[in-house]
Amino acid sequence: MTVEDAEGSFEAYVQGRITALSRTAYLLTGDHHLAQDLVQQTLMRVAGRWRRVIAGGDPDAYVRRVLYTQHVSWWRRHRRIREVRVALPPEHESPDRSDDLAVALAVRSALVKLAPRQRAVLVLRYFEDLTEAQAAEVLGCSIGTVKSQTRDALARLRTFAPDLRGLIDAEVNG
Amino acid sequence: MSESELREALHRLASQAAPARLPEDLWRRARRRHRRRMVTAIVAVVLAGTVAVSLLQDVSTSRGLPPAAPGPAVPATVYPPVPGERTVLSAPPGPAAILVMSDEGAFSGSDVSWHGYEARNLVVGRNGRYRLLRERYGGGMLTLSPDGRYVAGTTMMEGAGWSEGDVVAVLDLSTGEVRRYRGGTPVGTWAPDGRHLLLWHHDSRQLRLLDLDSGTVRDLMLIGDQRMRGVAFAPDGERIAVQADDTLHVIDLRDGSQRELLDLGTRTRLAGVGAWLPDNRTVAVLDMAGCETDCDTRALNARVHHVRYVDADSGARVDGPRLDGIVGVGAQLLGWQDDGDAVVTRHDARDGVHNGPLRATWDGTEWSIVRNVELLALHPGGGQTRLVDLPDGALSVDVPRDLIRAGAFGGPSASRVEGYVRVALGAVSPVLVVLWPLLIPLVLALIPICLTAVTSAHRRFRRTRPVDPSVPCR
Repeated sequence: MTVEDAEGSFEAYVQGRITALSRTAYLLTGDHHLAQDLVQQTLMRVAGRWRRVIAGGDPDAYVRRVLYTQHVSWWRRHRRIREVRVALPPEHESPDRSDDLAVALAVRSALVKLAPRQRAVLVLRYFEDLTEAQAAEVLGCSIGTVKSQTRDALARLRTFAPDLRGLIDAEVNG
Repeated sequence: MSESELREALHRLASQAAPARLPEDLWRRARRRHRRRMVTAIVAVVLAGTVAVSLLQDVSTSRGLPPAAPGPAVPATVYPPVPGERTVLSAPPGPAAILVMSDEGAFSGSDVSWHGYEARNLVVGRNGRYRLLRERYGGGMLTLSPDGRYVAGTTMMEGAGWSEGDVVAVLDLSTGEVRRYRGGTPVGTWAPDGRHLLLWHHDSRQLRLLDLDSGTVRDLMLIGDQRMRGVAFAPDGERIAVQADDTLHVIDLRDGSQRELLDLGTRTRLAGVGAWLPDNRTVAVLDMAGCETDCDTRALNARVHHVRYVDADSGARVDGPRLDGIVGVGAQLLGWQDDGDAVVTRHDARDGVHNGPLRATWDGTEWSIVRNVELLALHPGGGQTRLVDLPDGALSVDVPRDLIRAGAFGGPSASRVEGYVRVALGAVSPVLVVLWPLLIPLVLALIPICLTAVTSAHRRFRRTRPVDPSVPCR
């Protein structure tokens, strides 16, 4: 594969997946600007070794792994700034106060208070619908760790968002 | 709220995200960044290797040698030399704890063949310093003085000024100076006082004694057409045991007399430079059991050398410490510890070696057939212990007599990290032989490039770092 072919293949991939990646990044960061940075950083990193990535078949798994690991390491680097951002009021708050939106906002404000790995396991399990084994592979940890991180994440959600108690109790008891 | 409601909430939340805006030249920037990182990684590896090597090379000079540590001096492990290792001439290490001899091709990576010194030997000082002792060709003919301060060898030794003829070179490990003495070539035996050396004078076929202080030589015994197969000084320095062909002789230095003691036969020989027992009356010999002629490598390595004893006055076989047989193509007795252990070397033959009937008298420690050497302590009553782990490529080894007597083995080795680096660099040394002269200018050229890359990365990071308006400027 020539460099030109690789570039074309990369651009086609980005066009097709940019929306999905941006959404995942937003859930992970809780911030539109940070999400954009995260997606950009991820694609920068992936593009550098794109030919090897697509030689292995479907690039999605690799891109997802980079996105999540970038998120965790990036969060560590910018923890101080991120922690300040958490204190800011939710962005894009709509005047529509329907129940669904209220739940979504409650989830968002609770998510940003979780540790990055805990946030990642929730997004992988309940947004991307991955199994525990698949989530473990993306995060590079054991299934047991995914289980415990999920349990802890839900427990913390219960603390930060009492409205979600029903779900959490069901999950913990299940 | 159910699981599906959480999923729905996450999807609804995610739907608020706008697709990320990406720079138009993302691909080019990414490729550029990738290339930069690759270069940086290579530079980092080269720099790390250089720093590691530099750290291993001490900054000691002959003016400021660190003192030897108290306690055991001979390290438990000797690692191979690293590329760029200093030599005994450029940075004398002081008295040696051990001398490990090798031949062409081994212990390389530190210099290249156009220096003219193909063989490299390793001296480890009592202060733990590693130094190379280079020779034009290997031969295992270097011997340490009883106090470890001097090395005797031929003029093959670096710094000795090569010359043909009967010349012995003595290197002072404390100063790096080499003195040459005419009168013979060394036979590998120092007098216990450390001021006399035994020499072989080819033209006169004489065994001689060299006085290092005066430079005078004294004929001891006419060897004639016989082959001299072993020489050993008694611990008190008054007598010398000499094996010429199969006959064991004893020379008495007090009156200059010499006499035949007994015929040893083809399977028995003087045990080595440490053959005299501490009682000054008994001489150890090695009886070889196993393949004598027409042997392949396996048969040679299966030989067993049993230590037996001869009375130095009567020539009668006498009892002595019961020691395990030494298994290998050959063995040498270097000396006796005060606790009664015998310190010996054990040698294995190279693959593909095959001796014919003409070589039936091998002592089995010859350079041309040896693959490796092991230094052992044989305990009276049975049992043995390996005294030093030697590096690959070691073919012969010598330890100063004073350290053997004191049993000063098991001393501190290089650190584990240094050991790993030494072993790793030793493994790639064949490549480094060629690359090393090129690496130094390359590293020097890469340092400014590296610094520029780091500076620009730092500047870029500062420029692109997200800024939070709520964080006050400092």
